[in-house]
Amino acid sequence: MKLHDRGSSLKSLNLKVRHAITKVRWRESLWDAMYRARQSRAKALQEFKDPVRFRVEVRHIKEKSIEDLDYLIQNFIYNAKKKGAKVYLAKDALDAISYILRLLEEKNCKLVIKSKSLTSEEIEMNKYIEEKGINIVETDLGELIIQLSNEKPFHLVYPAVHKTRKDVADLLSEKFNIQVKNDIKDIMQAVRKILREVFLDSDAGITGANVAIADTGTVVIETNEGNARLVSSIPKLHIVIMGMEKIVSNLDEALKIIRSHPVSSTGQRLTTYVSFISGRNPLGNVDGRELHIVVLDNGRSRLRYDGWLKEALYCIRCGACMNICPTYSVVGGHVFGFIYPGPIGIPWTASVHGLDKASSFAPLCISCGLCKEICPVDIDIPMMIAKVKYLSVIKDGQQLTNRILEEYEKVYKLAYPIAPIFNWIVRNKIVRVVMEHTLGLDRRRPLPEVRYETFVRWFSRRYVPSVKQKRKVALFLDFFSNYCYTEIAKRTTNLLESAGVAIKIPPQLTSGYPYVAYGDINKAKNNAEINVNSLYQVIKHGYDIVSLEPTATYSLKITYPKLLNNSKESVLVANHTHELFEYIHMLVKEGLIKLRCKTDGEKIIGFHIPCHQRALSEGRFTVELLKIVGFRVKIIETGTCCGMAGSFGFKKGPLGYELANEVGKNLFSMFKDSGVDLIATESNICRIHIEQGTGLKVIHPISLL
Amino acid sequence: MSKVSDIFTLFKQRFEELAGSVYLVGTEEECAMLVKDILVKRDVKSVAVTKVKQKLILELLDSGIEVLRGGDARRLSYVDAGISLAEFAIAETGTIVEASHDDYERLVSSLPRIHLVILNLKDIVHTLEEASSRLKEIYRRSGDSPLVVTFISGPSRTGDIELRLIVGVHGPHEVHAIVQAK
Repeated sequence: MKLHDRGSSLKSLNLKVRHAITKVRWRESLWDAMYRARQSRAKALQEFKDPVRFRVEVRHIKEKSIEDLDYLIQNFIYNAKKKGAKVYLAKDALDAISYILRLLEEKNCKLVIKSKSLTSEEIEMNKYIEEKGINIVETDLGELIIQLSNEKPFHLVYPAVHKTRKDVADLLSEKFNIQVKNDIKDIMQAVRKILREVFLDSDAGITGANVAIADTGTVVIETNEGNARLVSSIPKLHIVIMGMEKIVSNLDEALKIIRSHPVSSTGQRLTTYVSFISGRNPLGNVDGRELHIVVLDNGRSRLRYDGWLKEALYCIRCGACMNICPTYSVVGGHVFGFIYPGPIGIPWTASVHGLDKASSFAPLCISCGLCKEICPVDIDIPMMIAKVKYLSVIKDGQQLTNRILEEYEKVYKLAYPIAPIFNWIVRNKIVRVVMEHTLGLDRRRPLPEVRYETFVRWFSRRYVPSVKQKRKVALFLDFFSNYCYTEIAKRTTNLLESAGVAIKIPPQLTSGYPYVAYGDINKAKNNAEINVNSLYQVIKHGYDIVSLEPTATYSLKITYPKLLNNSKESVLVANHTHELFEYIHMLVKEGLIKLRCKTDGEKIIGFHIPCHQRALSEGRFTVELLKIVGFRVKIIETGTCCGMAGSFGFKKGPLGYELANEVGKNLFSMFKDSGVDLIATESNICRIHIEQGTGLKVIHPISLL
Repeated sequence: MSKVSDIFTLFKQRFEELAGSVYLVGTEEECAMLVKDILVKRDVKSVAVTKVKQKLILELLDSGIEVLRGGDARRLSYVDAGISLAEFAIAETGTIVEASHDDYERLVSSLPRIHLVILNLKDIVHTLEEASSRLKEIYRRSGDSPLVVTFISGPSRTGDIELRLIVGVHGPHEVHAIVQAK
């Protein structure tokens, strides 16, 4: 029963992905939207004196608020009531809905206007209101468009980004029996005119709230169109529906969030309008004007007690994670989401809509980690997603393909003694077809060929030169430099030894990051523990750790401490781990390595930054060193992942090879159009994908020094 | 940044980046003349006002412009322009801040196509942090009365269709900030 459920859920997702891939126009609009959002966010961030510190401050506000939430809720209710608002604490969706419906019926509301509220969508409020025969109209242009076309939002901030002006003009013409020209200005005039009457005739207005302030009993609404101002002022009844996690203690904290949110959402300093509403203002002679604030729990209070998932409550709903997510960029919000879309949508859906709904799209996360990098609150979205995948695996079991891909190290350990045979086997067309059908590995993807001698073996049996021992380095090899591209580790060894560095290879397993990507957290923890213990031993003897593979470095510095609860050893290992080029750069600066200018500046190198390296040096040491030896270096990037995502790009079908290629399409074109002679990247996995996708030669930069 | 003129310059730059317009006038008389000028140029026949000085209202009536001083939303929706007073402005973000105890005041700056807002030069602060103390004063002053504070940073806008930025949706299409030096 279990396997069948997971199987059909996966099949359905595969079909949806394949279908989404064909929607070329939607994808272009989405890609455009995401790209521009990232650019404008970067520009807006430049205005901050210290954006890193600001982010820490915002994070601290959210941490504290969630910690003190019980008190804040009581304080908020007290102060809101003092100003004359009515407040209702709803324990779940149905509780909130019945309160709202009762209220609307009591006040005899026939026409309700709404401004954008994700929380109202979370509880599917519109549906219930319409069932009662009450007319409810979205006033946010994007939301109105999808309401009229009966669709779900495609993007969090721009829900109708996939619609062209012609689509919109036709839609409005049809639904309102008027002639709307295929022109944006004309569309705006029409919308303003149509909605003006709706605003004026409405009996109730329902809004969300972006932040709430406990000290003053205030709800804060951010908007650009001006519709929320009208929704919250014209009708006799104003209802606010908001999640309890929106509450902060005081005005200063609210201002920080208000300043942070638009930057990451649309690249604005502030939204055009920010309304701080305390109590209900009178309007002329109208009697009985009321404000009702529905504070929603719906699983949030329970979430506070989950060590990893609790961070979901820190989300300020900016949508930045969506704007950088590589798989979201291909499939959009209709596939990557249930009601809450995108990366943050996975833990949110698991918490308020249930694990099964989250599992239905969680496999779309390829664990690139970019969402965490862009999040204005530094939320550990990748690990929350890993936890959701972990819960899915416990419930439904693990996919066979994932299990096989996770154990690549064990396979290659058996393979290298018979290297020539193994390499022939994995190249053989018939074998690949069989592998595709039985193991789920796409036949089109070349598997890495194994060397007959691992680096560790080579290292152990060679003559060890005596070095001046200026420094001691323990190498962390991970998979490729040990089994496949051993020349990377050999060149590294030669280079470091020439600088007077004594090298050791402590016992180690590969990073185990695929365990995290596929939700096998306990297995990941196991690798982490073993590697940390081994590396800790050498650190105690004064060794620096140099890691050759970006994902492995990321694991040592970021993932392992999280997996091991920031144990003393894991933190020490993290702090003593260096990227390869970071270390070489240091040795060059210390004069221990002298780099000679090797080329005549004719060759142009295209540099690719692997996702996991974005959280580390972003490759800047590598680029600098390549320039020092005389190369012209161009960083070629789309700002998001190449799509390979570790073992993901080996899997057959839409949720694997196909999606990896769709994600990588734009990057491949950029490389091909860039006029570079050669591509350099430190990730051996990206290397396979980019080589195949561009037809250009891709090398590890160590071979250029 | 302590010089008043620097702060004004920053405010003007930021507000105009957001498609708003900023003017600096000396006296109340100049302010009234400018208001009239802006309205007449746009063929405005009726305005809704809140908190503005009697003198200004008389000027407008003199010019044959109908002046509304209260009313409901429907009345307001037929008016061509709204004129309000700001509590203060924030230079760093290009923002005007209004405080209202009556939603009529909010509608004056949200329903009509054209919005004129008058403020004093000395009431422009540099940063959001500095704005905080002004805001706290407003809250203190209000006690337990209902209150809505609104930040306005330019005319209304949307990017919802094809990501094209369009100015002027449900809110004003134009916002004119008139800064009075005295």
